Amino acid sequence: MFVRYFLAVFLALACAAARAELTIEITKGMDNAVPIAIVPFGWAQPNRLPEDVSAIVSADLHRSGQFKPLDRADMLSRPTEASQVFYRDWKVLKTEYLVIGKLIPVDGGRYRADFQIFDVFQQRPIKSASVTSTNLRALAHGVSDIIYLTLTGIRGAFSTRILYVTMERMGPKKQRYRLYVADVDGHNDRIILESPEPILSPTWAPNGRHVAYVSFQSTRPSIYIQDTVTGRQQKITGFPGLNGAPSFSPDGKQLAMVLSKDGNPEIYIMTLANGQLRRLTNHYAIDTEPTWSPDGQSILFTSERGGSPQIYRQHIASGKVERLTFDGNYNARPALTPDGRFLAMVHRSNGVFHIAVKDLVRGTFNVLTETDLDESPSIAPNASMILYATLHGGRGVLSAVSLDGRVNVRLPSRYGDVREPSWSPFL
Amino acid sequence: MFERLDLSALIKSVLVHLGVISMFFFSWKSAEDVVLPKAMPQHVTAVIIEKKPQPPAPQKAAPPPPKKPEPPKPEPKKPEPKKPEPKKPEPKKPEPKKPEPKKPQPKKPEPKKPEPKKPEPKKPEPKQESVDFSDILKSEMKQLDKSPPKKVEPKPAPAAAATSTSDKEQDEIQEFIGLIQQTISRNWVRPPSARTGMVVTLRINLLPGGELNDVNILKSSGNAAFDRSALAAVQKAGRFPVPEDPIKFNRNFRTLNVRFAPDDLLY
Repeated sequence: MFVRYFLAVFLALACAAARAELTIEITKGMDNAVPIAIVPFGWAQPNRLPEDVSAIVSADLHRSGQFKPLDRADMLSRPTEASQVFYRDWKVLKTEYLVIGKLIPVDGGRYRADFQIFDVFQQRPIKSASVTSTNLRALAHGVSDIIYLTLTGIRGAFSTRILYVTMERMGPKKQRYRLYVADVDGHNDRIILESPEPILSPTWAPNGRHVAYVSFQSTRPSIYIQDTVTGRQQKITGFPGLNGAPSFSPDGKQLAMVLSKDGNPEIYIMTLANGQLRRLTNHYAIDTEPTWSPDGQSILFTSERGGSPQIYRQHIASGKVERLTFDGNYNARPALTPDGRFLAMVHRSNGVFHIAVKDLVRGTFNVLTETDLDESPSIAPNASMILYATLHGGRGVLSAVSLDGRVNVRLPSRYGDVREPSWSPFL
Repeated sequence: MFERLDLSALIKSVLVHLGVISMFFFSWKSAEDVVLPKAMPQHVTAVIIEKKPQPPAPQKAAPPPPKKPEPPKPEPKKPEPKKPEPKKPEPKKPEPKKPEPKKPQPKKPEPKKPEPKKPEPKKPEPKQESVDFSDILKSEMKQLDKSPPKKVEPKPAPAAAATSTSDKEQDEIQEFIGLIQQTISRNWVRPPSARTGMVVTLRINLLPGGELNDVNILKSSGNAAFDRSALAAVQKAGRFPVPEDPIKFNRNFRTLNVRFAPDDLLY
């Protein structure tokens, strides 16, 4: 590595005599989290606020793995206005960015956060913004979204939700299944379906309001769509045999699914408006776990047609099939990033199931996790993290890993097993 | 900016000293270990798992640099490179180590430079900034005066470079380039949007002694976060190891182009 540097530098020097100017190449860096300080937001009213907004913002940014919020106790000052900011206070702590703000009550029982982001080393403000909400947690997530976008160039996903299934053992051969919707930080969790029979494969519609899942509540598996706001449930299929793995098309008008009504599991596409079914695959091997490409033109699915489970892509209009994965003898449960570039999957190596990502542009393949029995990868709408279920301490828990495998966040559950997470689209 | 009274300089230096001392006592390592979502009553809570940080060394190396940000940087440029340099040139040029009195006769400001620089490494930046400023100015003026004659020289220099002086000097230059690379790399924290193929080139201007005078973007990567990370890396470093010899400094290190082109990203 350095040899290469020095060769380049040598050449550069030959010219340097004439130009008297060196070019230094920097190709390595740190992948540490960026130090940031979220100063407690000012609040001039006498009553105490029910939520600590800046603590929520710090937790959001910390959980992203991209930022390392400064501990409040270490702050040398706590400015709430730009005029009170002394950059040296933050420079000395090597804090790269500073966020200050104030909370103001506005009519209708709402709150407004006016906040500013400063670049400590360039000594200048880089963003001023306001967020208004009745709910202080939602307001804090809104602030986090703006900070994340400003500092990383990537839209924040702190205001999104997750869907997951819990299973609690109530006694011998007696379980309780619950389908939850929660904020992405685990707060505001709400049960939208409860059943003694299994609930499988929950997934979001692109509108961020409806969800589809498989439920055994009528003794045989059926696909349902439910409105998370009204709770209204609609049965979509109830064919003999397998009814599974629903997946909404990007426009929300169609639902891909697996049915075995014609003999063995095949992928079908249903037009939701009229219930019309179209069979996509026709192969004696198992085809399952369909998911749409972001352009809605293709379906990715898992198939054993090559002798082992691998991920394939079939163009819907032409029917042309292409195998996408070649690493190892087990790759399943495909999930694509919204830009279509990265394919997340469950990959088995040495009998252990991990989350892996293939870069479909450059062809690289990376195993991201070190945990076991990882399943159900679901990608954040901003493609920053992959949410998945895994085993920890003998129980099913949720975890999230960044696309580069650098950051891993565990979301431990209070009780029972948690499985089959699904990350909502932007809301 | 630095033309204020000595009082302000004194206050600055006291503040910085206090800051540095307080850093030792209240090390901000704590921030790393913080597990924010502690006692959430909710069903699901978040815990960051400290995962194999790909560069584990840098992460652990990170805390130390903040603690001794100012001291360590001066170190490299300190006596180590300085002393050897003068020794080598000694025979060739009339730059006797530190018989400062001798120099003053031909060039008065030059001797002054070395004197302020000695305190520099030992004490934090602000003092240097304020105390040395006039000296730096003078020295810069001198160097400016000198530079025209140098520009005449450089043309023969490359030719000569191939002969005698070049090898030693180029080795030395390479050594400093390596040190500068390390200094910047250590401070470069890439944003998550960084991708292989992004390139930003900065132009940095240094003061004699290696202090950063000015930095700006020569060629943007097109990604604001990526550009900012490069600027921050240079600004956080603040001071760079450079040759003590003003001639060498002026020839190669006064203005540098720094090209940030990550080759160790996953994507």
